[in-house]
Parts: sequence; structure tokens; C-alpha cells
Amino acid sequence: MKVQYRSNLSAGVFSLILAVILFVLIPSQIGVDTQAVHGISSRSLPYGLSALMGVCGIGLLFQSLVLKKDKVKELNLKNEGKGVLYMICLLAYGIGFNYSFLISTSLFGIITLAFTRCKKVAYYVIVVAVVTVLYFTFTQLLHVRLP
Amino acid sequence: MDVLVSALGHLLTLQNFILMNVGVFVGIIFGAIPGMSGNLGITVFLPFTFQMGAVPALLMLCGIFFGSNFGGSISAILINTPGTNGACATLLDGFPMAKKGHPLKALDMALIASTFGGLISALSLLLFSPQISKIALNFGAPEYFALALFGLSIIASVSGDSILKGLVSGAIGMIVASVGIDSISGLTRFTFGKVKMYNGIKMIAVLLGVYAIAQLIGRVNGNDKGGQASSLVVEKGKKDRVTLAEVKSTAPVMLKSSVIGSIIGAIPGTGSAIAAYIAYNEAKRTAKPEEHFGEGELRGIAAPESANNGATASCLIPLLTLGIPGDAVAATLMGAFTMHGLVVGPKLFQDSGPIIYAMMIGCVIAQLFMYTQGRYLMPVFVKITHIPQDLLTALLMVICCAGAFAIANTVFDVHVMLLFGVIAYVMSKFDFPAVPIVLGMVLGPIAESNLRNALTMSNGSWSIFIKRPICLGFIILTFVFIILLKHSTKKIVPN
Repeated sequence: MKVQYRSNLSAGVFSLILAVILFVLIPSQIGVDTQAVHGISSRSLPYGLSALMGVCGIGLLFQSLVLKKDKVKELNLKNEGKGVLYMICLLAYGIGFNYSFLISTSLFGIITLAFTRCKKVAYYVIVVAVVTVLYFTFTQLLHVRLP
Repeated sequence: MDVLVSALGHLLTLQNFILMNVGVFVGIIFGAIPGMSGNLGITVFLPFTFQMGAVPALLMLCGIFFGSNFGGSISAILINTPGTNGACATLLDGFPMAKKGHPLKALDMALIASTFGGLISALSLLLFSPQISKIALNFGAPEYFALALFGLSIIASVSGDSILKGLVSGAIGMIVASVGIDSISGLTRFTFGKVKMYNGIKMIAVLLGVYAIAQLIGRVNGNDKGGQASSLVVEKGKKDRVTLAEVKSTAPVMLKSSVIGSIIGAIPGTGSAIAAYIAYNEAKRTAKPEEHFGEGELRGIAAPESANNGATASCLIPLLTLGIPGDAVAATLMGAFTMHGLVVGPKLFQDSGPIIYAMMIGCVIAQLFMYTQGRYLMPVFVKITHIPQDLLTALLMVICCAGAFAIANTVFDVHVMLLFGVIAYVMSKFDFPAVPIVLGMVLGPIAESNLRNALTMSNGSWSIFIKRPICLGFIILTFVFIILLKHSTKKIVPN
């Protein structure tokens, strides 16, 4: 199933949402700079960037809705669903990495191959072997501690 | 003259030549693996140099530094993932050329340009250190701000079809760079109360996420450009090297870019990434109509590679002459100098002249070793293109994850890499270019902190930016560039 969307319109909405989120977050995330020099404080750049994103977002919306300069793009929901599933696996891997590099990365390598519909057993073995080699290279040779 | 003769006596030994080659080889490997870097290589091999004399130790470590800058271009060209910060601009034309079936030619050009840039840089170090350090001393906060502004204007050039989207990407990069403790006020920004975010977000983790992970997600779900996982096809037996005529035609670009790299490298706090982008931008601006930057143009590889290697030896200029490390690698090398009893600064040449001159002459020779090694190793590197795409995807994923952890031995960097991979993938659906994110991260902090410092210097007067000639020069260049770009029909097509 394919969904169509307009690139500039979507980008404009994305930029505006991002600008608003940033604007709202700044007071809670950046303290008041009592030693601000000549009006430029720790909040100045973030506010400036938020304004820039907002202006660019409005500009993109203007391009799309008024000037009619836009590209229609297609989203293949089946493929993107697969992508979302992979991103969930990325999340799980990020959590698993805390406990064991060797096991989590080997599993993740295997999952990546599975997502690409690889049927060759040799490749799965190669990936696990490479992870093992990496583990010993980092820990024994380079003395970089891995979980 | 006596000093030079004594320096040659220190330099011309078999041990030094062997160690230089070892250093260059190690540097190429470290640079080629995304997530690892020349700095990591130098840090890892530094303890091995304790038993050596000062000259062999420094030559080996400098060899790692030079090799890593070329090594970064290998992964940039072959797998569209820069191995080092300095190779970010190389992939703009390197990967498209490789996709067209000329990976060997792209690597060859990168090697020639890297050697050229490295030679110019090493000769600058040897011959012009005092003069260049005087120029570098004139760089204060206003000049740094103006340079950063000029660098940020490159966003307009690398944004492809939409400058507005490029500006949003650049703004995101600058916001990400602002995470952590503000160096001027000491206040935390966007840390959400997490101590691990006080040190900010590492650029290399974001780089890996934006370039490597986002691309790999696309490959996994079959949405890679062209609809199928792309493969680099090289005809077997085909000689696909840069010809002498092509070297001659790219020589002016290489020379200009090497000079840009050498000057920018000598300015503390800048680095090879800025040099590479500025040189690329300059080459694109002066390109002929038949040259299509962003689609696999030879000059698009020559310019950034000459510049990023041009910034290598010259970043040692402020270190050796003033005792100020120019970047992270120079700071690590400063430790090496100290360990071998050399005190960097104005009296270094006076106290240890023969050793320093031996090192500087050795830097010139190391570039030739890098060229020789690269020439013979290139067919080996190109074999990466023969690895089946699904296996390569999985291997890259695991290597990037290991590399991200190796940055600072924290799982946080791995999480950052994965998060930014997802963000960059989502942004690509809206055609937001990735390159400005990196530009924003590199140049945003330089621009902000120096703006604030400059206003402090001038008691709030903005005229400081007009009164200082170098600063004014960069500001004028920025406006000229933006106006020229507006009139130009040449745009870079992002990958």
C-alpha cells in the first residue's frame, strides 16, 4: 500500500513543530544567565535557531501552498513498516548493548541479515565471527573495555 | 645549516623509515574504519613509543595522523560513510563516482590529492612556520566568528534544491552542538537532567548515525536510492586509474585547496573538516559549466582531500611555535612531545632544533610513503565492493556500533548514533539534506562562543566586526559567495 505526500508541505510542518517544541523547551532546559553580556545569553542561540526553523517552515509551507512548488513523494507502507520494526530492533539493541557487546551485537548482526532476507548460513557465521574478532581486538589489543 | 645536517643525521635511519611506514599503515586502517580515528590510533600507539627515541616516536605518530586523513576517504568513497570528520566533503563526489563504476579512480584521486595536500602542508610546516604562526596569532574572537559564518554559508551550497531545508538541517546541527554545559555561562543546555549529557554530544557519533545508520536502515527496508540496495560494479580487469592529463587538470584545484587547508589548519580550533568544506565550496564556485559537482566530479574529490590533508602538518605549526595545540590530534601529540622531553613553544627550535627539523623533514617523506602504500593497497580496498550488499550491511552495522563505543568508552555514544540514524532517516523522507547537520555541529559552537567573546571585547559594539581587516574580509567573502551562488545555476545534488 502506498501513501502520497508532498515533500515541502510535510517538511514545513515538521520544521514548525520542531521550532515550537524547541521554543517551549528552552525556558525549562536553559537557566537564566545572570551574567549575560550585551544581551547575548545562553538562550540567545537556541531562540534564534528556533525562530530560524519557524521562518523556514513557514517559507516551505508558502512554497508548497501558494507558489505550488512541491514534489509528490510516495511512501511504501509495507517497506516503511519493515523499517519501523527494524528501528524497534535498534532500540532493543541499544538496551542490550549495556549488558553484553558480544551477545547483543551478534544477535543484532543476525537480525540485520534476516531483515535483508539473507539465506546463506555462511554470512551469518561471518558476522558472528567478525563481532567476536572485534570484541577481542578492542579488549585485548586496543585495551578498550566493551560491556 | 649545521642544524639541518644534524637533523638529517637523526632522520635517515632504517628504524625511522620502518616506523613511518608502520604509522602510515596503521593510520590508514584507523581512518578507514568508521568510528575510529587518527586520534584514537595515536592514543593507542603512544605507549608503544615510550621505549623509542623522540624522532622515531614522533614520526610514527605523525604517520598515523597523515594516514588516517587519507583512510577516512576510503570509507567515504566506497560506502558513503566518512571514516573521519575531514572526509565528510569527500563523499559528496567520491561516492557518486564510485556508484558510476569508478571506485578505483575515485580512490586514486583521493590518494593523489591527499599526498599533494600533505606535501604542501609539510613544506609549510618546514619552511613557513614562523610566518604562518604570525597570521594565526592575528586570529581573535571576531575573526573566528567571521570564519565560522563563512563556513556556515556553505550550507547554501550543499543544500541541493532547497536552501530552506538546508537551513533547518544546519539549525538542527547547531542545536545538537549546544547540548551540554555552555562554556561561557556554565549553564546546562538541553541535558534533561542527565549527567552523561553534560559533556555534550560527540560529533563522530552523530556523523555515524546520520551517514551510516540512516543509510543502512534504508538498505534493510529496501528503500535505498534506486529502490534496490545499490551495488558498486567494477568491471574485472579494467584499469580505472587517474590519468596524467587528469592530474594536470586538477593540479590548480589541488594547489588552491592545499593552501586553504594549510592556512586553516594552522589556525587553532578549526580542523580538517572546515578546511575540506571551504575548499570544496571554492572549487564548486569556480567550476566550469561542464563540471557537475555532486555527481562524481574529479575536482569534487581533489579539493576536499587536498584541503583535509593540507590541514594535517600545518596544525602542528601553532603547537610547535606557540605551544598551542591546534586540534585534538595536536593536543595528543603535545603529550607525546612532553613524554620525550620536548617542551613545545617559542623555545623549542632553540633547545631541540635538530630533533624538530628531523621530524618536519620526516613529515614530507611520510607523504611519499603514504602515496606508495595507498597505491598498492588500493586494489585491496576496492575488494570491499565485491562483498555482497546484505553481508556488507550487517558488517557495517556492527563495526559502526563498536566504533561508536570506542569514541569515549560509553554506551551513550552508541545510543546517540542509533538515535541520529533514525532521525536522519526520517528527515530524508522529507528531503532534508544531511551535510548541513554536520556543518552546523562543527561551526555552530565556534560561531556562538566567539560572537559572545567578541562582543565582550568590544563592550557590546558590533562595529568590531567591521574594524578588523581579516574579519571584514571574511564577512565580505560570505556575502559575495551567497550572491554568486544565487546567480549560479550550479547546485550540489546531495547523496
